[in-house]
Amino acid sequence: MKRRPTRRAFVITGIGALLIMAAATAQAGWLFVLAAGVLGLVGGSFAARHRLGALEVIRSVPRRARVGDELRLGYAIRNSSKRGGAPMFTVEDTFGPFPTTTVGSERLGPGESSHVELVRMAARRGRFVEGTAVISSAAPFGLVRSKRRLEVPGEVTIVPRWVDLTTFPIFEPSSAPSEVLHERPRAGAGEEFVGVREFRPGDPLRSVHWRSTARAGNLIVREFEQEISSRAGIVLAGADHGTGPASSFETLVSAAASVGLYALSTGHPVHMARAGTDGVESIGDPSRHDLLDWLASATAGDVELQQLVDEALARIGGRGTVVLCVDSAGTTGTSIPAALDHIERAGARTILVRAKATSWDESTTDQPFDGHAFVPLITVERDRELGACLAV
Amino acid sequence: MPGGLIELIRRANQTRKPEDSIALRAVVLAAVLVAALALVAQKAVAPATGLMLVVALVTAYWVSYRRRNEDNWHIKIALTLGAILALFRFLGQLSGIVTLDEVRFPLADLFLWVQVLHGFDLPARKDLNFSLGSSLTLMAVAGSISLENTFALFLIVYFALVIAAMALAHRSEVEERISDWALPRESQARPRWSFPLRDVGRAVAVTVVASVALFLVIPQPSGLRTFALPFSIGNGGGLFAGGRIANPGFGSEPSARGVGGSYYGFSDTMDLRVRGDLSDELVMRVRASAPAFWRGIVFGSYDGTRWVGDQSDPTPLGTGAPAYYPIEFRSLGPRQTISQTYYIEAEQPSVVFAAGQPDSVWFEGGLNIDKLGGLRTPSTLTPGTVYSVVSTRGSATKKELRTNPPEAIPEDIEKYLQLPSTLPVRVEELARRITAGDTNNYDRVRSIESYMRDNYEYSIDSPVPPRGRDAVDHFLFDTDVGFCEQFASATAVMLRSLGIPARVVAGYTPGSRSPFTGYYEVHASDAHAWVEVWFPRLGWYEFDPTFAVPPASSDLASLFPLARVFRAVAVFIAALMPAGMGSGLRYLVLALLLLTIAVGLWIASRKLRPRSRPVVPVVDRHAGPVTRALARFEDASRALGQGRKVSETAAELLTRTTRLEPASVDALRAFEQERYGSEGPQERDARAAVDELDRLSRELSSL
Repeated sequence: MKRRPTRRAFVITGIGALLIMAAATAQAGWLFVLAAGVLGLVGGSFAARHRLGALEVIRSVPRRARVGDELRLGYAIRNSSKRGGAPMFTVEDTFGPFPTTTVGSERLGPGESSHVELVRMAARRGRFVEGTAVISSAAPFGLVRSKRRLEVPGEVTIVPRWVDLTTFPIFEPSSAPSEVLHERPRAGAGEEFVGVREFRPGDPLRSVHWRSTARAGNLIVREFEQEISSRAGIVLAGADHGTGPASSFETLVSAAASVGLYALSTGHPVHMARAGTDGVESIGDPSRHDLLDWLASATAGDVELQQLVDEALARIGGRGTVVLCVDSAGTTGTSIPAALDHIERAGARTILVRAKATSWDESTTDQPFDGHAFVPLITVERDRELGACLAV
Repeated sequence: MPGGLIELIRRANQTRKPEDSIALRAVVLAAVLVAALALVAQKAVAPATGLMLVVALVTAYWVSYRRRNEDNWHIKIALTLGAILALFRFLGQLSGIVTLDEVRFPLADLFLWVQVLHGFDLPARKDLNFSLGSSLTLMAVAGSISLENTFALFLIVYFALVIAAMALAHRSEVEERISDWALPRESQARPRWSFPLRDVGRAVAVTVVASVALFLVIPQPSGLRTFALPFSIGNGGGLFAGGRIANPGFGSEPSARGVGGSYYGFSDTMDLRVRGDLSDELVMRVRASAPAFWRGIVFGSYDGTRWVGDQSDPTPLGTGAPAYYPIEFRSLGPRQTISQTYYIEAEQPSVVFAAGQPDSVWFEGGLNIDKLGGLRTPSTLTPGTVYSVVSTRGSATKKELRTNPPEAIPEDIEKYLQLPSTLPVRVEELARRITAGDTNNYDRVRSIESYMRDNYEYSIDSPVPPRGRDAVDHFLFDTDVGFCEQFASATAVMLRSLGIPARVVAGYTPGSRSPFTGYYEVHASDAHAWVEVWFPRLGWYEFDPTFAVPPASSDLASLFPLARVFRAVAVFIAALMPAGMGSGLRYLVLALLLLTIAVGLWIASRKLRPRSRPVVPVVDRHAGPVTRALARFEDASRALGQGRKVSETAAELLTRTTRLEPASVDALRAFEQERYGSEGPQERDARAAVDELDRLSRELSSL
């Protein structure tokens, strides 16, 4: 536990020293008494104990939430000491998703506890397991401050915000080619029969397997190889521009979450890849929760797209859709054309979601990109709503 | 430019958060009022002005509270103008001032008006803190003026208010920083805040101890650094002296037994047959750079029963201040300067009291000097009279005094060898016998001084010499009992019989120095007579055969109040010891006493020191099953010597003592929910948690 004089204590000590000088100069004994009283306030504050050592802090917070959600954040504080009470103190909690929160407590006697519940907005995405709380007290005069730092456990995952998409140009395995937006001809698609399944809205009538339908009593359709190979690979990369929950990378994460959730809801197996501290990080066939959790811990990084694209292609095969959620600037921005060529060569389909870095940070430069044949380009910008950007 | 200034003021005003605490404002106002009243009590401000200031301060604080949320730029402009007016008023008051010392009074007035003006604009806590700080300036000015211990009352009340204000300001500061207060679980609504008497009381106790300790060890150098020496005539109306020395305590009958506030020796004659009881009445306060005898009268000739001073008309020294001591009376050689200011509290004779040789005197009303060098005033010194003196006194070392070569005695000094023809020869014979082995005058003086102290008793009621007997001879050979007059007279007469110029002088001992005011408080009973001895080329040196000459320079005791406490304790302990005890034995007893105290303190500190022990869990009968299970686990861990530390949470304890498995984590969660949650854990979870904690306890116990 650290004990330090506050700035006010230094000021008062200075006044005391001035009084001593004045007393010695003017031979005024009462000024010595005044000086002793003033300095005694500081000295006495040093001698007084704050007894913060036995304070326990428990933080309660919901397990999962979205960025921007308002959460109930609770603190229970208990003085586990048997001997002494802790005078008025504050607990300053720096816990990942929230801005620093400070709560106060009046004197807590031995064995006593107090609690408080606050509504705080989850400002940051991520997975947080513990935070540092600083208990401090300068009671009663604010002249000497004691501080004790302790790690307070508390697990919370703040997932990115997403928008619910009603449509997105991922190649629909069960849709007729003409029904898919921006569809391009693909040779051999849907030719190889692999089995049957129940009818889903949007399935073409020509794929109905009437014999099975008659046997089952409801519509059964044939499933082709294309359906299995039409996976969605989402690649997330790029530096971060701007600050806060609406920065460029956070917007890209939200875009990836929106596309990923859409893909899952429309039956596409999803594979995701991003740059991590130890190279490429990926997740395959995640559930809805797993996808959001995986995105919760994504970090920005200005990397070449080649390795990430390779990873995505290796998982989705040549007939899937690779959705590149990438930054327009830096190395990532530079490597976009090469990545698109690479995907095209592999026979997969590409959708480019490109965050226009200059709309967040004018000092940066968007890498030149004139578009690419057959590649739908979705540009996300700072001042445009993500839903509007993705609604193609 | 005025627009810019207004904008600047407006912006400065907007940055502060208004302070809403009425309690804090009230306490700060009370502290300021106490400081203002302290100034009124010290007569730095007229009572009528003081009353007006009190009303103005209360109004100002009320206005600033009401307008704390407003943009007060127009008030600020008005206050600036007011401050300029106050400054002009201050400068106007300076014109009538004679001494720099008097500046304190208009300065106090200025500070007060500034305090009032500032009181109109105290929107934020920072402003209130500033106001509290500036009230300290008022207290400091009042303290520097105060001569009395009653100022302590103002100080106590003021400090109590300052402490309360600081506690309230700190709370307000905390309240500003936090999002909310954590409250006891059982309270549904926010309880009304009450002043944290317990914490503040404890802090005040520690503060008082710290303040006293600091006061005892803060060096209080007595050397006056300022030469802004004050003087004033007082309330006037003293007895006119008419060329003689007027003594307010006595009539014209020299043989009358004196009772009261004035020593009979403060006259142009000192009759050794007169006895007097002097009261403890405070007669004057002296602010001085060093303790000294405050000399008033010089006596030149001895007639067998009386010492006689100069009875001729004294010579005027002029009326302008300062008056300089004539060169013919000045001593040479190494000198120590002592600055003094005298504050007369009870009417005193028409003489100027001063330490040693009064080189320059700041006295209002004209000064005279007699033929022996004594300074006289036209009338008695009345209460309220203030005068200052810069004196010097001989500071030659003992070695210098011993090696001072003999020299022919100048003509103007020869009168200090006068002795009555009736003086018995045995007085001189005694003097020669006492100084038989001495080779220089200094040693001769010291020998006689020692002889007097060792062989004669001090008593204020010594027998009166019979008519016709020489008073000194009667004291030396018959009674062996006397007081300062007898001791000084006998010493001076014996020195004169040896051919050493000596004279008896009368005045006051330094008195007792108040550690609070810093002034020497001189009482009527401090009246004293002592001896001055002349050394060739060095001049007059003081010797006190009755007690001891005050130190030539400040010692530790005058620098540190703590040293005075130690000295008082040492004197007390010495008084407890038997009179016949040798000094070696005394030191041994003292050392044993100190050792006993030290051992006692050590044992007490050992007993009182809180022992560091593991926390025993507080399990009350309402505790839930999981809490009780955790308590059992803590018992088990304590049995292994791994008990829970004061700062350790339950989670930290479990992590430290066991391998944390998912079941343990769930148990811990159930405990936290039971202990701190608004609802307890599910019954199934609680049961599982109890099982898990009991399993861990068994595991620990089996180790």
